[in-house]
Amino acid sequence: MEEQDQELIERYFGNALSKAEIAEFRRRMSGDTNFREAVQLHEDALEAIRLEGTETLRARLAAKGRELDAAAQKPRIPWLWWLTGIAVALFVAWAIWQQQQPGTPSAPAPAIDNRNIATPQVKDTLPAVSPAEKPPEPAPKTIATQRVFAAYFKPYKDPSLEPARRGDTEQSPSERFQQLYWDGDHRSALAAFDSLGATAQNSDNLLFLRANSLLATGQVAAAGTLLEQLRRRDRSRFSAQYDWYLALCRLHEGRLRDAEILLQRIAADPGSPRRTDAAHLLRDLK
Amino acid sequence: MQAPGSSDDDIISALRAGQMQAVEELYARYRADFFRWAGRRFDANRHDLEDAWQDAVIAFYTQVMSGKLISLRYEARVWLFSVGYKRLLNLRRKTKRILWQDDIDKVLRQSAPEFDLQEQSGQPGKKESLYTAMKTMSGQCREMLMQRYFLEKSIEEIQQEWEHNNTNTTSATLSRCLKRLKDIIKSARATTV
Repeated sequence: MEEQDQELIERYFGNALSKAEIAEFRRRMSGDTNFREAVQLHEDALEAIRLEGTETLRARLAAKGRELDAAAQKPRIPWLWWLTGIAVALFVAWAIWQQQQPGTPSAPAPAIDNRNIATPQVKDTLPAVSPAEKPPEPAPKTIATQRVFAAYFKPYKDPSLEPARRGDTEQSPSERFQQLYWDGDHRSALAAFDSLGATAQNSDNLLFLRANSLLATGQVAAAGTLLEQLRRRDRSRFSAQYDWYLALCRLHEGRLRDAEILLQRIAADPGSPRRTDAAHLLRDLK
Repeated sequence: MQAPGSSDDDIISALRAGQMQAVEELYARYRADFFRWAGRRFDANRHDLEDAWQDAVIAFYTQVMSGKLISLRYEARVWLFSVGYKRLLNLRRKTKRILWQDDIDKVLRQSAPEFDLQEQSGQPGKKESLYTAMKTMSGQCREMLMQRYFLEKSIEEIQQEWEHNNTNTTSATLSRCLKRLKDIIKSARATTV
């Protein structure tokens, strides 16, 4: 009886009742308190879902807005790069030309008959540096950045990822993957991901988790490539996290400047959930 | 009044087919135009304009998904701008005096109530309690309920996405999640009464 009522209520909210059924439905609403309460409760549940859905959609649109704003500012960067490149090229050309000149006269030197003048041997006062004697290069920063990476990297988790504990039904492959991910067994999670069906393997939400598992197991280059792909598509509910994890990849790879650019972008974005983390990390890198 | 462009109708079809990229395309397509247009009419900052534009796009999406918006009497742009305009008015932003009129003003004069899509505020605190109830649910339940009742996906689509063995498993899981949500709402209601 109760199950039938639930089905009826669901059909009512799905606009699937006939005219006669709607009339009967309304009659029960006015006379049956329990039924009316059940309808009210269902309506509230739908409203709760709608609120959550709207919030998710709003976050998605906000991320898209940030992307559009960033893209609108992009054309300035190539111009800057071009100008810097031209300036550097001109400077290098000037320096080479200067080196090729015998002196640095501003006007052509007058012709002097120097046949009888002994030309002093000019000694290069700077010692020549042979490859073997090259001064030691500064210690690579990779080790230091990897240490910072280790301090900051934590595989992404939020309460929405917590698997539903279900004892009565068997876990689906994607549930199994998420369970292993949640438990921090990233090697097994990666293996479980490989056994997912095509639909699940193309889900950007799951791919984001996979990128985290790759990072957790030291497969940084693969994680970076995947995160870049996800970032271009911008289709998952974790979009706001991409730059943070990509910055950590760059850090691990020793690409400090790339990491800094990403972190500065995050730190400047008031809507980014990683704003504080990025500010702290930037501070630690100085 | 303009006949709907084919691309606008395509957007409705795409949304009905569950293609979420269509919402983003719609949002991106007229966003800069709306900011310019509304910026001339309201003393609003960029944040307000962004909120109004997001509200308009979300309203469009929910109207389409609920079946209330099947085809457009006006271009999608006109529909969205009119809703965004109403949102900014409801924010009680000071309007600027404008000496010209355009197609949106004409539509708003003719069909103003059509674009009054402001949510009902309901009992104070109720929205917050519903919001909290949903947050209390497990991630998988939340995701599945959203897919079914917000994104309007079919049981079959959800079954494929979650790789359930059959649709019965999906239906049973959804029922269990919905029941759990109702229980949470019910107990929250009981503690506040």
